[in-house]
This record gives sequence, C-alpha cells and structure tokens, in this order.
Amino acid sequence: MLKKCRIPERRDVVIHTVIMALLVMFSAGRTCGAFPVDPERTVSEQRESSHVEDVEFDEASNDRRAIESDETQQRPEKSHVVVEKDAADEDATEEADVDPTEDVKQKFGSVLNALLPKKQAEATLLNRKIDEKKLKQFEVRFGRHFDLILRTELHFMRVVCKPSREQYNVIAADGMLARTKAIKRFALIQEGARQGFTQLPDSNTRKPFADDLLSSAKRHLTADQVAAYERELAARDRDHKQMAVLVTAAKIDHKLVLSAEQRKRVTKMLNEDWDVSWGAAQMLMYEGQYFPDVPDSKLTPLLTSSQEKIWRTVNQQGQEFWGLNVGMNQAIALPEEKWDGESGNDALPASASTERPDAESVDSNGEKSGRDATATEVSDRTGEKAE
Amino acid sequence: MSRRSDYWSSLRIPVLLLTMLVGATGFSSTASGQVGFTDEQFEQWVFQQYGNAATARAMLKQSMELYTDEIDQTCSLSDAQRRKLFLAGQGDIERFFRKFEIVRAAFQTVRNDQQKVIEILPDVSAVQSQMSAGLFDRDSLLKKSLVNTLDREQFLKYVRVDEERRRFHHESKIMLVIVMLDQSAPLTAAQRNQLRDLFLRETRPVRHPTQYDYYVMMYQISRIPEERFKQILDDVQWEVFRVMLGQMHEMEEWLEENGLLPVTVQVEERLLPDEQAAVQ
Repeated sequence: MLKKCRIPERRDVVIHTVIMALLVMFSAGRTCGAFPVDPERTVSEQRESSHVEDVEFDEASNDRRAIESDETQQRPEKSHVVVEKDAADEDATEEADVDPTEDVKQKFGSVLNALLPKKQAEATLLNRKIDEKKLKQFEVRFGRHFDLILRTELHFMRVVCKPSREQYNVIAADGMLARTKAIKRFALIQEGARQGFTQLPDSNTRKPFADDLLSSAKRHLTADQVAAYERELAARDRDHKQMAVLVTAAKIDHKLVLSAEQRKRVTKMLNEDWDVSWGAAQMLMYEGQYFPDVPDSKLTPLLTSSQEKIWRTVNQQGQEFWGLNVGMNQAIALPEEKWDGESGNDALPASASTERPDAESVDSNGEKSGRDATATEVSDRTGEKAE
Repeated sequence: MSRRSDYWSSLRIPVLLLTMLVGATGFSSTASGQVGFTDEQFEQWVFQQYGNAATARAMLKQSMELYTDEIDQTCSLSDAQRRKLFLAGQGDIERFFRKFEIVRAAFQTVRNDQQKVIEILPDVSAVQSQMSAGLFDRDSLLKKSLVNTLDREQFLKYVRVDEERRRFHHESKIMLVIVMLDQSAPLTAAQRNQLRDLFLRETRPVRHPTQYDYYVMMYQISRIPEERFKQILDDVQWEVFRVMLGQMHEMEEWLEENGLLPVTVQVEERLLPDEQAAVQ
C-alpha cells in the first residue's frame, strides 16, 4: 500500500507542473485543458490559480475518461466516437448562438474525412474555416508554447547555418508568420479531433516551424548554409523515427517476451512499415499500456501462437488522437539571442558543431568507438542506414 | 487548508489518471437502487482492457507461460525445473490477487461515498500499475527462483539473454528522453550522440519496466552534474533543459514511495565477478 504523507508545498507544485506538462500534450487536441506554469507568478499565486484552472483540467479529465472507459473493452473500437460526444457537449455549452445545422455539418465532415485518402483528408481539414473566437482561445492557451518552439528553432537554425545578424533578423520575421500559420494549423487539427475526424495530420508542433524556417533560409541564406540546415533536419527526422521504432519494439518485447531474433525482426518490420501516426510521444512514454495500430498482418507472422493470443488483448490506439506534441517544456521565456560579433556564433560551444564527427576511432581492443560507432549501432538495430 | 488544497497536496500521477477513470465509469445508482460504484466498475479500474478479474487471471497465466517458454528456449529446462518455475509464477499471480482482494475489501466498505473512494485511489492505483506493468519482473518469485532452479551454466545463459534485452530497453528509453529534450530545445545530431553516450554512461536500466520509466530515466539524468551538460549544450539549450530536469529532483520521494527507486540490479549481483564480466 502506498504510504500517505504530507508533502512540502514546493513539491506539490512541481509534481502538479509535471502532470500539467503531460496534460498539455494529452489534452491539447482534446479540450485544451491545461495550464502551463508561469515562471513570473509566485508559487502561492500558482496554487491559488490552480483552483480556477481546475475547470480546464476537468475538461481534460472528461476526455481522458472517454478514452479510458472505451479501453475497458477488449481491443477497443475506434474511440473517436466518444470524443465526438464530449466535444459536442462542450460546444453546446460554449456558444448559445450556435448554428443549428453545425452538428450535422460536423458529423458529415467527420464521415467524409474517414472516407477520403489520407493526404486529401488532411488537406480538407486544414483548409476549413475556423471560428475567430476559437482561434483566439487557442492562442491564449498555447501561444507561449509556440513562442518557445519558434525561439528555440530560430536558435537552432542560427547554430547550424551561422547566419549574420541581418540574415537572422529577416528569418526571425518570417518566423512570426510561421507562428501565425502554425497556430491556425493546430487549432484546426484540435478542432478536427474534437469533431471526430479520424485522419489527422501529424501533431508534432515543431515540424511546421522547421519547414517554414527552412523555406525562409532558402530565400535569404547561401546554398551551403541551407544544406547544413537540411542535413540537420533530416537527421532529426531520422533519429526521431529510430527512437519511435525502438521504443515500440521494446514495448512489444515487454508484453510478448520476444526472443532476440524476434526482437530483431519486429524492429526491422517496424522500421520498414513505419507510419508516423504510430509515433505519438505521449503513447510511447507509457510502458505497456498503449500500443500503436501496427497491423496484425505485419506482426503476427513474427509471433508464436501464445504471443499472438496476448497481442490480441492489447490496447491498440486505432486512429486515436493523442493531442499536440509541444514537448515537455513549461513555456519558459528565453532571453533574446546574443550577438558578440557579426558571425553570430561567438557564444556557441564547440560541441554544438554540426560538422560530421571525425572518422571513427578504434580503441586498443580494435573496437569502434566515438559518436560514429554509437550512431552505427543504433542504425544497425533499426536496420536503417545513417546518412 | 481548504479541501481543494488538500486534494492538490496529495496529487499523484497515477491517482490522477485513476481519478479520471473513476469519473469515466460513473458514480451512479446500482441495480438495487443504492447510489455508489459497483464491483464491476472497480474491476474495470484495476484490470482495464481485461475488464474483470477472471479474464485478467487467464491473461496473467498466459503471460507467465511466455516467460517460462522463453527461459526453456534459452536454458533447455528439465520437467522438474519447469514445474518449479511454474509454481513460482503461480505464486506471483496469487500474491497479486491477494493484494487485489485487500484493496477490493477496502473499496467495498466505501463504495457509496465518492470522496472516500477517491481517498483509497492510491491503493487502487498501486494494484493497477502492477497489473499494467506485468507481474514477472526482476523482483518476481519467478525470476528470483531462477538462481536456485537453474544450474550455473543455464543461469549464465539466461542472464546473458536477459542482459541483452535490458540493454535494448535501456537504450530505447534513453533515446526517448533525448527526443523529448530535442523536441523542447532542438539539438544537432552530434549533440544527440554526445548526450546518448553521456546517458548510457551515467544511468542504469530501470529496476522493472513500468509506465513511469520516462520519469525514472529523467530523474537519473537530472542527477548528472551540470558541467557535463554544459560541455555539450549551449546556454539557450541548457536553460530549457535546466527547467525540465529541475522538476525531476522534486520527484525523488514520489518515485521512492512507488518502489521505482533505487535503480538496482538484482539477478546479476548474484554472479561471481568473473561471471559478471562474461555476461558483459
């Protein structure tokens, strides 16, 4: 049994904060029910405000409940139906002057979305109109998270491309446009999730910023600078995919007690047939409870009959929307970039270098060592070649 | 202190999730007209997708068979050894259901009072977490019995296989942490590799996998001296990471209370030094 003990006040807030960070990710797509900790407020102010913000938190709980109750069934059917119901309830209380045909339109929209090819469904969703009031609410709740994403991505671009101050400023101005676009994009995705749309675009909030900054870099930087940024973004995508493949394979292994050979084959299969919707960070973080929607036809040929029986009892998430992935940040405010010289990189550590590591070193035992060696090991596990 | 403040003071991640689940299953009139939660609802909280105790028991038995099959495949067990491991695994299942029955008895005394049900949620959560993580981890009777059931050669073979698995899981968790950090403040490929090397050196695999592995890893990482990070990260990146890692120091007590710390190795410590080297 758990011990019950009094916890110091500061710890309460910290645990609360961690949970809220999780809920930011969990709930963003569902009801926006999260409140990041404001570093400018005192602990007591935050505690006080938490009472008010419970309302938002409870909204998030409602959606979580919907998932959990649905998951009590064996191999649940797609749970978006429940989300849709919650969203409909919430919308009903939100606006008195709601269009009476809105509900029908939403239902029609979600059915249509399910029938269209994935790319077309995503494009249809992103081209919808969004209510200005809802857009504003979304920005109020998540604006600071998006600010931090933009700020850190600009910093990353600076580390990688080494722009001059003038070049940086022009790209930063484009970044503000990227922010506006991203807010609309993710507000639409969230709205779509509420309305039961099942084919939703990637919920990774950083990617559109990186894509837009890359476009801007192509207009304002040299080809070499752009190539460096492209290389890093490709490496980021590759590493994130490798992580998702390995974590998923480890989860399946934990559940099904795979042999070493099976583990290799499952990892290879996941790597070859990977679907970006299987890699929601929120799902990957929870060992054993939730699994991506890997088709049985791909996995079961690699399993024994006993393993297959257990696999059929796990929670696969279908087209569940896990919320927006804004990272585990607390929307902290970072200082402006410092510029000691026109090269713009004086303040950066040598370790941030984007140069490829030196050729691998070989230790006294003839073993590979250094960064290349470890990168190769990881690539070997997923069967993917590092560039 | 207000009731609400008390609530936040005792907040725990699993309890929070369970509270949501309690809300989901609903506080309602039972068939007999009495207001409260039913046994079926309680079993759903604990056993989740398995729905009830009978289904969960059957699933746990299947899971135990997977573990014994794997050991058999690695060590070629005799019938007597297999029977012994089977009994140990049965013991784990019975031990779990004894805990479950204690919590269920507590639930049955308070089922008609929603507030009191919330008060026992930490206990429900502990059983639920154990069910969700699986019973046959390194602290299980099944695994502990291996050292006395297998002969030395078999045991060494098993430890090698288990060690390989543990490394695979550990590396995947390290990569998960790095990607989560990367998502908050992007890193170059070189920095990701450097962090990976640092974390592999400075952290140990979790004692047994649970849904809180991410926090256990982050907690371990938060104890790495700041200077090591500063050799790899720049000021802006470090500022973001510092805030994230700072929260983890505060979770130590909670992780300990939930049996997630210390991160130790159990089985391998029973090996002689030369055997440990052979496994590595």
